Amino acid sequence: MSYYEQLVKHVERSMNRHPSSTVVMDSDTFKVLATGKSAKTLARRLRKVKGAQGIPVVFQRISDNAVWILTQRIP
Amino acid sequence: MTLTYPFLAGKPTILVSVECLLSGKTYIIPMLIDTGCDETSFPAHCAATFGHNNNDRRVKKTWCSGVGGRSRSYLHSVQVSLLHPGLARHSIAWTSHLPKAAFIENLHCTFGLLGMDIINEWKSLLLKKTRRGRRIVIRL
Repeated sequence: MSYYEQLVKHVERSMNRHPSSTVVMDSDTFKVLATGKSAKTLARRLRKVKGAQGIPVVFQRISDNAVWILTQRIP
Repeated sequence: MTLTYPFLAGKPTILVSVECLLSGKTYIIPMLIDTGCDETSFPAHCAATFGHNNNDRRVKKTWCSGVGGRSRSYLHSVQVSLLHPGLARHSIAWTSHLPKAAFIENLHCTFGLLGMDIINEWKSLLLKKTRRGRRIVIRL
């Protein structure tokens, strides 16, 4: 299994384990470093995180509901 | 070069590396491949994760529109890179030339949007169904 496939597997597992939080995971060890309800509290926690070996992976659970997205810049 | 990614959480979403060009901080973030999106975008609150402040007077502000209506967007200096999907270790396969992305106020989703500004840098994009599940195939 490639590194990317392992990363996807761990991200999906953590999304289901922390369904209503934003999660920060270490990209090397796949350990959850921090969870937070809002981006502000998480940004604060991210600064305090020590011992991370890899790049932080930041994500929230992706909703099963349908998504409609369209954005266009207004000149 | 051809990069093949599995869908994430049942959507054409890939994990990408996003680097803040001001601080050098890098994060890996899920991004939806959105051909209906002109500019690569993130929800406005994500700017705080990179240590950016949307209210700083040096931040360029524009307007954008979409399904949710008209919304304020803040331009921040970040660069998107694709992770290599086939190697046994963490590696960057490709980096976009774009030095900025929009952070949109009324974008209430839990991922970033890989828009047409980045998709146009690729040779082709294909969504296909395989025996192992749905895949995103990007030719560079």
